[in-house]
Amino acid sequence: MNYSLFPFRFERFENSEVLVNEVGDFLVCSIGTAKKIVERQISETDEIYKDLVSNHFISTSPIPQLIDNLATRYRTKKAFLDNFTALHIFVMTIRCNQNCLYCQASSKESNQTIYDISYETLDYGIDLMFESPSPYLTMEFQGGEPTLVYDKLKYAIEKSETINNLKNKNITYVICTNSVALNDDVLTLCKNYNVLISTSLDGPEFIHNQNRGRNDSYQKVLSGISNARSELGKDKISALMTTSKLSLDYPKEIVDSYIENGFANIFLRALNPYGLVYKADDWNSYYSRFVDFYKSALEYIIEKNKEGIYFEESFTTLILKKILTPFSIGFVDLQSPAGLINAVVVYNYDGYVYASDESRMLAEHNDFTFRLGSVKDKYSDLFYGKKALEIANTWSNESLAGCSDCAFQVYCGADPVRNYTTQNDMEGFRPTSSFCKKNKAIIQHIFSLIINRNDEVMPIFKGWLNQN
Amino acid sequence: MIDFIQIDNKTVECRVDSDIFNERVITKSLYWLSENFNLYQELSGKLFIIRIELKTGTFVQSTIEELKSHLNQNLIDFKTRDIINQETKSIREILLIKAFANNDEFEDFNLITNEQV
Repeated sequence: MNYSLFPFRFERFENSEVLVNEVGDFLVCSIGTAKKIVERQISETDEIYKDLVSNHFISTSPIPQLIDNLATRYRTKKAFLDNFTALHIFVMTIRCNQNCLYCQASSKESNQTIYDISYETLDYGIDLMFESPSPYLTMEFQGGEPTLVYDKLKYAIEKSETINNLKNKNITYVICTNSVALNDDVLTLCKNYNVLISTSLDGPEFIHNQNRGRNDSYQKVLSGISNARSELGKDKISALMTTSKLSLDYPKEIVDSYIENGFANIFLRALNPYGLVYKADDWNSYYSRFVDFYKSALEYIIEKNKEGIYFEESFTTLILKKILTPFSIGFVDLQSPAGLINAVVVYNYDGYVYASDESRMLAEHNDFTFRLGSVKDKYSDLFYGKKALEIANTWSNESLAGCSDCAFQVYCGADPVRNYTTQNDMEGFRPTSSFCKKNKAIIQHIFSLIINRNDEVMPIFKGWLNQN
Repeated sequence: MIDFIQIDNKTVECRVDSDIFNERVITKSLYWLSENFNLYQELSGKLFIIRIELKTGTFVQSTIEELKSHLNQNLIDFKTRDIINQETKSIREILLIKAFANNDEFEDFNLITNEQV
């Protein structure tokens, strides 16, 4: 049979072969299909032939008529690159009022004010943020605990509002807080400037308090969430959980606690190898157990949805969006080119600009590999400088060994910071990469659900996609 | 099917015809074994001599069979991938050029094409 090939990748998976093209369209076939395609053993009378043509795996002409259509779809998949850096993280302080066992930001005691951002750094950072070509900006305040420096929070938001009278950007403000000290001042500030609150809730009381190193943290967080909801509205508060080693044994209890506390979604988030927890654990064993935890929790969430409770797992939704829709996602950990610099940048309390949130976490351990420069440097030197170019060599999974041929490449991302942190090499080494193993296992699990339990899970998954 | 010769209790060797599997295919196939094995590869005439050494422990027959099956599958799959990559290199370049072309130029190109049609 005479036909031309389109670029595609494939992977043997369970008892099938999954073919995935450049824009994420996939076909599930019998093992050996890719080889048959390449050897021109597929004929027009084969059932799969029309699927291969209509999904851009093969073409009857060397330059297919629909290549412009495919190019537009490719561009859509990479649309997150269009406006360059949109997420600007300001690390207001690394002081904190909690003692989280897994703290990734290496927080300090709450009375050590030398770890607060200066007004000068805020001024320079805000000016740099407004130099971003993106018409949409998210100004995210992180810590430590950013509400400990309320005056500086207020100053940063008000200064940005003033500058924006001229710049006319669409700005979203987010405060990442543990909600323990969400007082009236902070809530009024949030109300006045439509600030979103991203908080942390690790699950039921015994897990949350154990993770936070405090006996009263859970009650304080719930009280903070309740106050914020009544002042700002329910949709203004979201919560993130972090899966500690203790959490790994309690997937159902964690999901239940989110449902009981009025949340409609959960983001099952693994620990990252940064901060206080770094070097303290066996990461391979942790990530292997995390994948089992994720599968159990997702199964329980599917059951809850079947019972009529709308409840979403947000990481799954991100992957589903990549698999089942033509669109790109804004989640920086699953982007190629990677999210660092392209989508996110960090203005740290120390007066320096870092390529990502994880980059500044490394700096707390005196590793400044991903420090782009001082907030006083020129925008072009920071965002297009030598350091950015060095990182750019390793930020596309299309060109990374082990990723370049992976069928799941288009659904995954590149993470030079994690590669460097865990493997001492920005390019990374896929056969031992926990990032690769975890993402691949989760993507394969989602494929397995779509393939083997389609009628059962697709109505639920489509419901999640429609909400996002 | 590539056959293995056991050199000692932690090393096996195999020979791969470079006319059948090129160096790129062999390297990519071996890459995924390198979590558990030290790998050595040299070209002797038309044959690649590949030495596979366990990083820890010693070989038992079932491990060798499993390794043989894994490597053979890798070689076949990576050869298929290599053919796809070579055959679609130009169309992929055209696709990316069109995808990231300046929007205005892209529209002009379509207009001209339509007028000519």
